[in-house]
Amino acid sequence: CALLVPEDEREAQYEAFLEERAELRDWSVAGRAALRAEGEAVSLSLRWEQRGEVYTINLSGPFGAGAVRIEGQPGRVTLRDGAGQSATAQSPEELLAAQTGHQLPVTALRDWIVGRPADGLEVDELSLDRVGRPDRLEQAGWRVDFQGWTDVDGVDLPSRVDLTRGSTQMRVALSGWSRSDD
Amino acid sequence: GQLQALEDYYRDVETVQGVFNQFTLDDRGQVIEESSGDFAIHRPDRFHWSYAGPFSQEIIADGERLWVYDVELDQVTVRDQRAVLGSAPAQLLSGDYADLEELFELAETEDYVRLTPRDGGEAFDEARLGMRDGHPSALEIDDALGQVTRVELDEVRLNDAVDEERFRFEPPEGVDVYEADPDEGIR
Repeated sequence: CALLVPEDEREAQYEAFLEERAELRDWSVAGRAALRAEGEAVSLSLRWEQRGEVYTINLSGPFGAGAVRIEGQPGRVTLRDGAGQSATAQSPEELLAAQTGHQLPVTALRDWIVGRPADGLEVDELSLDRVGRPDRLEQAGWRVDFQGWTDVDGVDLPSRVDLTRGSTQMRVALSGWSRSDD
Repeated sequence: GQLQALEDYYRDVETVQGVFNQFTLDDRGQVIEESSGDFAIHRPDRFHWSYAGPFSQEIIADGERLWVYDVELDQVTVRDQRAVLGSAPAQLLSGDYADLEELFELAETEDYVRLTPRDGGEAFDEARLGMRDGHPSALEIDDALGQVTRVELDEVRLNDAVDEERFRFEPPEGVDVYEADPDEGIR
């Protein structure tokens, strides 16, 4: 179906798509994430608030059980859990690996979750849909599939993103987007 | 009092049905998550907790296994029911008094029963269960992040016949089903 729209036109739409997100610095979204890694399957509620470079991610199991909060800014990330313990690390990846044993591309997810390739990483593959939005991209060994979009005050943001790398898969359904351009 | 009402509930009530509203407040008192749906419980070990929005999720305990079906994610996780900690409202409302006393220290105020986890293995600091008209009407769960999750039960019907089909679950076509090992949470 991509053949209906000439290649260069889709490229132009993609440039416009990226421009639209350039000033998207402050946003928040609620989500449900299903993580499957090495045979383990977890279903979580997720709430992500991004204010420029500072972010807060709340993760919790059913009925708010096992709540975990990750607060981060460049170079310093803290994780606090429902039992009062807290841990700090340089990066969210390091912290989550140490605390949960899961390898999760949190920094890259910050860009993927708003529908754009992750900053500072090679783009190994990128395919666009008919209106110039990413359909699938591959970075740092992760395949990212954008399964749906929703219009948030005129800007399309993802409603579901699937990440896969080897035997690890994470599906994230997103709802309740709110954003403010500065 | 509230404690006696809870004991009576566990003694007299076999099925509970109704609707629920659930919301989570963060440590600044702001609502960070809101959801609602309906539920059916057939004590002691079957229940169906159905979230309608913003994400639809079905949680079904069929007496042996606990199914969690995340509709938007096309994923079902299933685990042995006995191994699941009793902290979720559904388990609290469906289990029996002895289980509750084993897991929690019970205390009473005018408005609710306070449940304090005995061994600290629970994922929360304290829960409060408000009893009204012979059944739990509100449950609040505090966690150490300062968040409070409140579940309010409405249109509650006690001991009405319940369609047992509600406690059986067949994963739909094309949905991935994963066996979750019982005690893994996020960590």
